[in-house]
Amino acid sequence: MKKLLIALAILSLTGCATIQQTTLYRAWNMAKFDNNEYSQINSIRTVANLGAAKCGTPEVLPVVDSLYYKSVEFKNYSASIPFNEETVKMSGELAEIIKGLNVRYHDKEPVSVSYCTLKFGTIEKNAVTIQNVVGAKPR
Amino acid sequence: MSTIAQAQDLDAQFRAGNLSAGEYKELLEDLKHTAAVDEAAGDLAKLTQIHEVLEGLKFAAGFI
Repeated sequence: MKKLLIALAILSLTGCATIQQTTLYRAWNMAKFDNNEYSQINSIRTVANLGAAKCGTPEVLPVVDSLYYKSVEFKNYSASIPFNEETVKMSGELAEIIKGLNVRYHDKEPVSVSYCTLKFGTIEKNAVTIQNVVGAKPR
Repeated sequence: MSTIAQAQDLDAQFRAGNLSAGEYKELLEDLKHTAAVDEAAGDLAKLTQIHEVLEGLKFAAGFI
């Protein structure tokens, strides 16, 4: 009886034009809230938040290195969790943003304060977006 | 701030000489990355909502 009710409920949902069976399958099996994943994105957000104040000073370089390491760590960690495609996508995009910052700071060309400030702002904004949805994953 | 407004702001900063050509180009690319993050975040939020509905149905079925 229970299985029949669940099957009927799912079938009625699939009647909705915007919800497809694959979406239901993915939603049912989606990766749950993960403490480590949440901690990693929170760390990226915090480092970006505090690091922006160091733009234009030599102290920004270790912050940039730390951000890059953390972004790759977050990307690699999320990639190994099944049914975690959205977080993998987000972590990959964030890692690309941070990679650009890292490359530029290890290049011989000088880095402008405006670029640094904008870049840290972009990283923090994206980290907040990711943290909000990763933190809301089902327990 | 919308993506277009952000692009316009970057353009103004580039024209004012606050950004190099390379920096400007990279920051424009970042707008695409940000849009991709927003889209994936929206998808994840939608999946989470559907998951909660399914869990609710499962819970309700437990009373029958």
